Amino acid sequence: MLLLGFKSKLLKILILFLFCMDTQEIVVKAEMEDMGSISKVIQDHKGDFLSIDQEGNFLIVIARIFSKDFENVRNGLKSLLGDNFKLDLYKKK
Amino acid sequence: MRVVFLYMGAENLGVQYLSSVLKKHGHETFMVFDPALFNDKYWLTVNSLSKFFDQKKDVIDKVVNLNPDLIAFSVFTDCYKWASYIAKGVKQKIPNVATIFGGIHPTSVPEEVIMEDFVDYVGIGEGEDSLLEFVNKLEKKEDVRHIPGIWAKDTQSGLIYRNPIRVLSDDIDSIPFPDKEMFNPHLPIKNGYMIAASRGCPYSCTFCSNNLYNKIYKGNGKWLRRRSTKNIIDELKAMKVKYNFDKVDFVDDIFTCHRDWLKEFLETYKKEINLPFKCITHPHFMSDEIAVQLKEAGCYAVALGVQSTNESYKMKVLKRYESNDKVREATQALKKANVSVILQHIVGLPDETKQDLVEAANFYIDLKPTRIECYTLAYFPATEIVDISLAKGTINQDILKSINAGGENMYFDGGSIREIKKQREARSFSHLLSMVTFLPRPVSKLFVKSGLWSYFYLIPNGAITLAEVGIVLLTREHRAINYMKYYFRTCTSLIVKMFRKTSYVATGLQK
Repeated sequence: MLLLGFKSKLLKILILFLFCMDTQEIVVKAEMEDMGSISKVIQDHKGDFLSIDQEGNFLIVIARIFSKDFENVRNGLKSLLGDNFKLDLYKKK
Repeated sequence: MRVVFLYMGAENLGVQYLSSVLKKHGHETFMVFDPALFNDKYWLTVNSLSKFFDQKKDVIDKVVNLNPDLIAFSVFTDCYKWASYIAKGVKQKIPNVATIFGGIHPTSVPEEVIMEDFVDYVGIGEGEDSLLEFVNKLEKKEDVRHIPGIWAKDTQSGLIYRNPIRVLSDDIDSIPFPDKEMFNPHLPIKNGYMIAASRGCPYSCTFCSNNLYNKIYKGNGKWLRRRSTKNIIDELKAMKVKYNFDKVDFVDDIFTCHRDWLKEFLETYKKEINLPFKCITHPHFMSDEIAVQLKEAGCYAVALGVQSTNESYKMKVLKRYESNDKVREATQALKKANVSVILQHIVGLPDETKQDLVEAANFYIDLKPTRIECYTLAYFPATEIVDISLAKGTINQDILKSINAGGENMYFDGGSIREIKKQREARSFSHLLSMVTFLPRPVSKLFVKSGLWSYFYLIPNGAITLAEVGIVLLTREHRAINYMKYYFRTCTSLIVKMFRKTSYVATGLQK
């Protein structure tokens, strides 16, 4: 039992480690009033919000998501915002 | 030019900025502050006592004695009636003095405010640049009918000049530091320093004024702006020398909404200021990492808006998208970092059911934050929730008129609920939330499960207030403690002065 418990914990840590290693930072550009939709999609994919800025009439939201979710996030945003957004990988200046 | 600002009940950062901009350009500013005890639109309303301590007539006399060229009101919806009363009184005594109403209420319903006899001009949106241009021109007796951000009324012809909103300036670092001295004689700055590191909010929650600002500033400049670390630290250092305050209160809508800025700011703050501070943020912008960073920099309390725990309702009606899991994670991150958590909830929302309240209570009982602030929904003009409620039939045209005229009760004082059954439910729920933070979980759960909580409205307000005072003292919530001290000091001073038959209302004379 003890061994089983240990193995299961080890497995969890390993899975978490793999997932944590596999995150990426994304940047979403959309209109100011779309913050709600953006936050819903990021949250649905267990993402972390990192920063918000405004550029002209647009919001620039940077978030951390699991890499495997990149396309899912795009699809989620598309279903709520149509083509009125831009999603990219974020590169630090 | 001699400009008299008027305000009531609490400190107002907006007025402090307006005054500092005018002073920088050579104008004289004065503050006439009405303590408005027991009807301060901030926390406490006791009608009988508020009549006893009423100072409005003295406020009017004080303004008249200052012989102003312009009297300026910064008006929240809650204090619109007060401002109207004072403006009317002053106009009766000095009819030629110009009056300007600015702030969120006039910005929301300018058409209605400008129509009042006692209002000559209305300021729309952020006021620093507009007010300065207006005062400069007024002083030189130039035409003031075409200033962006100012609506003007021609008293002869009755014509209204509805000028467009002024495009916002990106550079908020260039605004002079707020004029704290104007409130210092009434609400000593040494007790805690109120500061904003940013302006604007990216969210558009339907009940909040940002809902309106996000709309009116679309295409009119950058609404979401942040000050540089250097600018904020320079302000805090200069003011620390002047006022020797021991705590800082960041009043930004979302203090933690920029990772890189936050990291840089907190490191510098710790090094250069090193005072305990409190801030407000959104559950989306809280994590274990941020909670630890805040704690290390001296943060002792964070307020988070929850508002409702019915996720689908919250999304549809309030336009708030954070899940209960996210609120839970944010609260636990703060608790783990040993930072006090204040959660804010709104009761009395349109179509809210008793089941919603029971579920919310169970959620908070499990979470057990340091404190829960439960507010009753008070509608603010031109916010989206007003339209939603009109469509649902929760409010009608008469209530809409009352909302636009500032006639609703405050959010801590019954808000916009009219039905007695709902009022009792809201009061019971609010009392329950006051208790769940200190009662053992099984006891709280028993109250909820047995339905006993729905009779809590029978508990006298005084008992709940005493319990809240106890919590405040235990948790050492400095703002509330200062508020109590302020009441004690001001009441004593007023009573003494009433006996001496002199006027209490003081002015901050500054040049």
